[in-house]
Amino acid sequence: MATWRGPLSALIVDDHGGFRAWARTFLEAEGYRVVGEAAGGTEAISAVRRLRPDVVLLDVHLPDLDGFEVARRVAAEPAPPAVVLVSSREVEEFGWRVGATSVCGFISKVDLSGERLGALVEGGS
Amino acid sequence: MEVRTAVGGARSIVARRTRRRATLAVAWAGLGTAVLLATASLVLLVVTPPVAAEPTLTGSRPVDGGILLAFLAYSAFGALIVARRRDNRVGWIFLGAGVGFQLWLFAHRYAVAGLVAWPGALPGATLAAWLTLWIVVPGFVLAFTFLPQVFPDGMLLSPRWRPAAWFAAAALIVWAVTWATVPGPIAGFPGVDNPVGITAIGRLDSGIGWVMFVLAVLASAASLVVRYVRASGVARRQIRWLAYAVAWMGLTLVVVSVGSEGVRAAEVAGEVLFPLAIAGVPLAAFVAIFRHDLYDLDVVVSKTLTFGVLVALITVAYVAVVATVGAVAGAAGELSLTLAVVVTAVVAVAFHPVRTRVARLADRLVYGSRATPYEVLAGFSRRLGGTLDAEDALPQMARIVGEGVGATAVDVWLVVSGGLRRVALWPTDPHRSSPTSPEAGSSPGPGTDRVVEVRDRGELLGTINLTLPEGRTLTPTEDRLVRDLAAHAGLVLSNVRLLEQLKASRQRLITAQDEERRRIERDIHDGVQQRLVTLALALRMAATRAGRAPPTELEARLEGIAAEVAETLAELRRLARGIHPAIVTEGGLAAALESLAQRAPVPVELQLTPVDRLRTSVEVSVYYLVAEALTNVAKHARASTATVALDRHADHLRIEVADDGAGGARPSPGSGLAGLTDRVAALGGRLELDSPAGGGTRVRAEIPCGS
Repeated sequence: MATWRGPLSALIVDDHGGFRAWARTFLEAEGYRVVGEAAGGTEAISAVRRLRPDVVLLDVHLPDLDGFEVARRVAAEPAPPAVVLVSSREVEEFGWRVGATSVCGFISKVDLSGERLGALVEGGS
Repeated sequence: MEVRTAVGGARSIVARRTRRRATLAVAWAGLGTAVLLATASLVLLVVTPPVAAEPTLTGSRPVDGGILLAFLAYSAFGALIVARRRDNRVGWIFLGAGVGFQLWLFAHRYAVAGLVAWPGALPGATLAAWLTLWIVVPGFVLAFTFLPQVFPDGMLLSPRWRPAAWFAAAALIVWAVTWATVPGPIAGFPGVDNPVGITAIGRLDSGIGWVMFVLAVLASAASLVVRYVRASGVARRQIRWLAYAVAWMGLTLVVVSVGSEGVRAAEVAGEVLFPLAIAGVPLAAFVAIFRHDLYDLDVVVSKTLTFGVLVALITVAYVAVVATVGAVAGAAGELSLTLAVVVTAVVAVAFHPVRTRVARLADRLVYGSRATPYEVLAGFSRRLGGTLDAEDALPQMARIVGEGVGATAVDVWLVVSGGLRRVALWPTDPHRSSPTSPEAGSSPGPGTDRVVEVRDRGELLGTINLTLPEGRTLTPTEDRLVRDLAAHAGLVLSNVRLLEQLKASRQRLITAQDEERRRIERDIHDGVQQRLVTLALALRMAATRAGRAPPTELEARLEGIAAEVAETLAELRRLARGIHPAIVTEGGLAAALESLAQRAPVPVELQLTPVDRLRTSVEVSVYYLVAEALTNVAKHARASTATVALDRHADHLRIEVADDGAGGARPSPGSGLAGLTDRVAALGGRLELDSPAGGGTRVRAEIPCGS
């Protein structure tokens, strides 16, 4: 991950506009710079290439590619961002798949906060 | 050029046909000669008055008569084989041997009549007596050396066996000449000297021809054994029987030769073995031909054979009875016509039960392990009565058909939605190349010789496909048998198809159930759960802001949260209704349909005849049916109005949902409507979709609702 250069830039990927709005509110309230939002997997990948965010908040359930696949492709990019998966489900529901994917961690949507996100990004870097 | 070729082809066909006709004429003439000679011999046998010390061939008149009829089998086989396979020497050998044997027997009876019974009454009796000396030789050599050498294809095993054939021919000549020229009295006719007796040849040991014959038989037996060892499959089974018979003949001849050197035991054994060996060869050829389909003669001859065996048996019995009665009465030669008629009548009546027994025996012999057509059908029906289990019935059917007509393979195909599926095969060899699925009603597919359709009340249910041995076709009898079996099979196939349909429907119901559960889970996840997530986040945000923000902001936030909770509740209700429409059980079907109509995006006219409460499963199905139909109206029909009609006719509930939209709806597999079709079918009802393009859509269902 890039060295500390002021507030971390974040990309929010979720097909629910309501959640994206709330996540933006939360992250911005806790010092993140939300540089973009994406509602689907392919859109997310092109947004990563274009915006080069520090962190990607990535929903597992997307209408086109699923979050794991997006994470795999993003990880293949040069200087990949830190990816944190989110879902309204619990991590246990995905079994081994979260552990097998190159992500910094998983946050259940109800537990989302800038603090949790920051901890995972720090820990995963 | 082409024209000339065509003309040449036509000419060669004509020539072939002419040749074929000529061959057939020769074959039937040979058989006719043999039958004529046999008849004449029989007449002589019966009319010749018994004489003291009468010369017989076998020791008694009835046995002579029996042998005579048995030898007829040679000519009959010969003619039949020639008729089918005129290029095959086996037929000609049988035919020739048969005529030779009959000549021998006739010459003997003629000589007995002309020289012993009525001396001087018949012309050429001496010539006949001379013929008895040697005319049997060609028959013996043909039947016991040439036949095993070329059986069954009419060719020598290989050119290397040619010397054996030449040796047999030499044996024939030496044997015939030495026996024909023995000087002095003719054997069996003391006082009649051989007219061509040649002392010079007579001085030769008359046993030399016999020894050569025995050696030729042994060589031929060896050839047949080698052929047997090299053959495989059916060919082997065909050869096996003749190999036994010829080996038996070789052994017998050795025993007889030893016996003629004065060994008493061998002489007695020879007397028993020899007739058996003579009968064995045609019998073995018979088995090869009829049990193992050699020359395709089996069914052709079935009836002829039954008849022939009958005639032979009755005649032999008749001759025996007549001879016995004649001897007992002591009325030599004075047998009256009346007595003959009475005896015949008695024999005919007495033999009636034997007749049926013989008929069945002949059929069994002819069909071998395949039972008679009647038995096949009866057995099939019996098995059907025992089991209607599809897993059992179809393979059994394939096996019965296959064994019944002697097919090499049988496939049973079932008409299923979207084509034919093979449901049984015989023999059950999974590696057998399976012919490609034939089109229903088309000509036989590749590798199949006969396709019989199985129909039930005109509807094509499936086909029975037969593969026959190379070059064989079904005889009319077999064809009829297959068609009769196919008629019986209609019941089995319709049963199997019902089971298949039931299985498929169950499968679809389960799939639909799973699909439904997944949809509900997705609805919960995407809807209520998301809302609750945002609610939780909103509440947390409100909590963090509670101390800092002005009360108005907090108030606004809480108002928003309350509205969100109300919407979440509404969505939960909608979901619950999808899982089970409580309104049906609580408010009744009419109320439930009204609520559906109210929520529909187009105006819905309800035409509901009041009906009593029905089984919950029926009411819920009706509710889902109407809900699905109205959803489709909203989604696809581009309709302005819709009608929902419900009434009860006797024991049936009739529901119709109609709209005035675009029409052209097709129930796709896995669609809501397809699921409903199964659901309605599960209740014993049926669902129809009528949706002409541009003519609106009509979904009609009838569900039995009797108490």
